[in-house]
Amino acid sequence: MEFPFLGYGVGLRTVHYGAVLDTLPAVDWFEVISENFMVRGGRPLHTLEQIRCRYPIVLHGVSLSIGSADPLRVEYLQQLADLARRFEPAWISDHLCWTGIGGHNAHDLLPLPYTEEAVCHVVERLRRVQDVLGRRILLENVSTYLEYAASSMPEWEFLSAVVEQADCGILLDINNIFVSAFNHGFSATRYIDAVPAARVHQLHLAGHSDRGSFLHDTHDHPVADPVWELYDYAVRRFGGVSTLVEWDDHIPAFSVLHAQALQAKARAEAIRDERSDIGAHTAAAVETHHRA
Amino acid sequence: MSAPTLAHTQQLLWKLITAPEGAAAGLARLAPPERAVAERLVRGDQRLSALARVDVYADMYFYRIRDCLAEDFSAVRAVLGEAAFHNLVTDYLIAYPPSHFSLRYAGQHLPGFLDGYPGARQWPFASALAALEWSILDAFDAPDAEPLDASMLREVPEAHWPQLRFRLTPSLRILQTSWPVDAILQRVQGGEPLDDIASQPTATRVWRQELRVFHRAMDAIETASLTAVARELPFETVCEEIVACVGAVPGIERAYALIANWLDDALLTGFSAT
Repeated sequence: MEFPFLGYGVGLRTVHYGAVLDTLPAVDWFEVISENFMVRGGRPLHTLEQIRCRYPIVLHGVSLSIGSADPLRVEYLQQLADLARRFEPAWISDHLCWTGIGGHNAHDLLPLPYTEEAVCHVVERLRRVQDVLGRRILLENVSTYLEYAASSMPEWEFLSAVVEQADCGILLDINNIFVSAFNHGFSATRYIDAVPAARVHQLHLAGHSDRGSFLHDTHDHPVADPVWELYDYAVRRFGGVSTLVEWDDHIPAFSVLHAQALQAKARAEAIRDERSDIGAHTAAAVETHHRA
Repeated sequence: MSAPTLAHTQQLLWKLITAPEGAAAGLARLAPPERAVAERLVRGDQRLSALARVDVYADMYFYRIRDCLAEDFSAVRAVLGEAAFHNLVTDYLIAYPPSHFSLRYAGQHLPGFLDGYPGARQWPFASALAALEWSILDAFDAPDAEPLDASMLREVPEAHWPQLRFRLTPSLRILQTSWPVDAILQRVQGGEPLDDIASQPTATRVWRQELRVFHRAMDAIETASLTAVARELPFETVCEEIVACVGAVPGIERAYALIANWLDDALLTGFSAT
């Protein structure tokens, strides 16, 4: 299966290497930042070898810069392909954004203008990336704090057009939708309703910070209650999709992070059970109706 | 006015988010025709103006890289203090905006940049200290190599020893500085004062043994010997250098002692006898 259901995982961060390898927690899977392991040797690769022996992993990149007007970085793609060959991730993902221009890298996920030009540009590059990697990838929606005057469509239309034309999947970040919806004043549920469900193969959850005039995707808090509610909404639409919790700053003990993943699992399973109950009740009602 | 192309959009936003004084100052510095396009690039609203929205990205650009450099150069940061380190990063990013796809390499030019940097004049050893911290980082994820098994050397016939050429671990860095950086780093990490630090030509070796990185100052004989080994010179030449310094008998003893020490530290990874 190209994008199997992995369950409920967490983003693996350096501070948790020891805790994970010492206690081997019952986590379904780990997502690792690809670039952290594009190194020549030493502890990072050694640790990933140990993790990979015990858990499924996914490679999640931050520097593909799929939307940049710069040429694609061949060296980057080759290193990513080598990493994927070595560690056999369940899949590879990156972000629908650009990270640099003119040979420079901001090390940030910068927003694209939602234009036909940008759709064509990203689609052509995605096809080449997927050719080099020999597999389809997932693209993640990013949190944004600005919109371009030149944008001619909403973000969900842009994302949908890109993934449909490039034939890739979606890593839908629920927190990012929530943050961007607040920052730009659109409906988060409308976004979730609009993306092609069959292409959503992973969900992200994370915490954010309220800066008063905007929400900031800081990954330094537990998942906020309204984001959990949006997650429930997404699970009702997309069904059982691999889910992952990220935490990148003020990182708590591993057990706290794991508890967030377990909460996602409990909520998704409650929705599944609720649907089973509805299904059973509906079947019983239909049966009664037919008998009558 | 037609909308800017994707490339032009990105070039303009890059200029605004990397302006050290913020987006408004970056905008003011643009030439009038370019400024006119940039002013219409981003939508603002009552809650947050267009420039305030761009500044969110400007802050993220600076602080993400500053935090990374603060971690990679924690001793330099401790010596300079928060304010001077902040200014250093500001000036450094103007000179060397990141170009590598990995944040890991954001600080690769910092040791050289600190050499003669006016903001660090009070700490003349800062560049050397940064070079040591960069070497430690470089050794941390250098390629792996199996250490040489001492028993393999014991099997080498005595007659072959003069022509032995050793291979060194790819994690080894030999750092030549004008300051005793090994001692400075230990003092910084121990919270000790640096008032009496004096300039002193120092050679330091940095290497990784298994997964841990070590650093140690070397005396002149070890420096010359290890440098000769790194140049793949035969053991005979390495011995001649030591003998020239300390005489024949102690020289040969020292050479074998160095080999034993390098084996213990996993610096040697192989050899050839021709």
